[in-house]
Amino acid sequence: MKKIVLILMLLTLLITTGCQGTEKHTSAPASDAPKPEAQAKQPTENGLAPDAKIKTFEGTQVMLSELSKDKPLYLNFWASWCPPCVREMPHIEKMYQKYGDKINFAAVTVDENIGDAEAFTAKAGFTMPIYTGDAKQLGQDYGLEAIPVSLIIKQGKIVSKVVGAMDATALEQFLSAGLK
Amino acid sequence: MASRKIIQSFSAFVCNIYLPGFANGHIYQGGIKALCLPGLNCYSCPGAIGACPVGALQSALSGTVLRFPFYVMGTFLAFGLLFGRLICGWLCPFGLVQEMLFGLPTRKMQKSHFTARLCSLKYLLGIGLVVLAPVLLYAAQGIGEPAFCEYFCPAGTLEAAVPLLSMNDDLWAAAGWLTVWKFFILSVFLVIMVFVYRPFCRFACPLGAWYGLFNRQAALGIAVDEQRCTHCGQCAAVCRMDVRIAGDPECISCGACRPICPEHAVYFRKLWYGKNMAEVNKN
Repeated sequence: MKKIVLILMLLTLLITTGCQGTEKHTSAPASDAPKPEAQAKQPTENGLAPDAKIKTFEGTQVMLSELSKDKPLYLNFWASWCPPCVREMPHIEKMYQKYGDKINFAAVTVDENIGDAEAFTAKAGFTMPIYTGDAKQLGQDYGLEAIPVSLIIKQGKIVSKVVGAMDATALEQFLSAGLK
Repeated sequence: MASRKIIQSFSAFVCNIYLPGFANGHIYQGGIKALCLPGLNCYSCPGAIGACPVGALQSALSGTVLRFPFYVMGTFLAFGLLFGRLICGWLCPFGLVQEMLFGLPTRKMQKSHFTARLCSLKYLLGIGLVVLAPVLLYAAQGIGEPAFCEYFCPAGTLEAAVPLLSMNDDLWAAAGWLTVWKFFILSVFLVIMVFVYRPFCRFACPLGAWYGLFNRQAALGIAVDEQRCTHCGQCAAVCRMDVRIAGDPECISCGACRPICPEHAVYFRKLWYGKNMAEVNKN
């Protein structure tokens, strides 16, 4: 019994000094590809996009409402632990290269460990704007039960939403809602 | 054993006590969600107030950064050393679901050498899908995936996918072939559960496989007084799990064998009574 108590004490120490929480995520990864009818759904009853303060890895802060004021905003919620998100990111980068002058892009990570997201994006060499924010609040405001989530926001209103990762073709089709 | 059913039901209720989640289809994300619950109870169940240990391990091994899951492994060890598979028999919500379905009045498939051999499958699933797959996928594609949760776990499909898909239009719209696959696996298990006692626990649960390794050393749970035991096999005969003797890695400490033992050698370990509980049972 003494042995067990000793082991349990050591384990408790291990747990309390453990490096992180259990599951890294506040949302589940949406592994399936979305169906076309997933588009043009609105998460809020009045279609208004909840405003939030987001910031770059360097610390530059911006409001989501500002990003959708002059140009449509493509908003993506992702995380470095989410395989579908990670697979979608290169397609978003490609679309940013193509439509970055017509649409504002904001890929907002909901990683709890921001360093993971920063390391991933640095390694991948993305040039699109990547932000962090209050993951919990964003999750509640935007109903992020699963990620990735893509939205088109025009002048503060959500005009299109997709849950799940898209390939380049589906993403380009999705972005057309912002270009109209 | 009526008291076990009450404790199982109470545990399932407490593990999923965030009742608004079942009404609005949103997952509870409060502070205690970071803690692991002892049984198999999906993190994404709308009512879940804690994390599933298997899901937590999968999550820790997944992603673009591979790191040793200190917290989760510590929790695994602590639960194993404290309870062993007592958790399966008394606390696991998915175990309760299986027992309820088995309670339906139909013909039942008895345990056999075949089912005993099938028990090894859970170790293969645990090593293969829970541990190796995320790490190998990380090595192959730069990101680990929670393969067990993503491609197999019927508990996750039942506890999370069913309520969330039924209430969340966005998730329903995102459902595809993977969802179909997961529902197929769930359906197969649900049907088998009616005819076979706890098939997921016996043949497929990596958490039960892990806890079983600690059954003989755990602070609580069923044990056998070796000095009294005559190895008559009556405990194994009455058991619905594939045990060879009470308290072995397949034993979920339900206690059904305790009154059967002619030598009163089977007893529940209790933290404060020391080793002589067999004597207590006899009296």
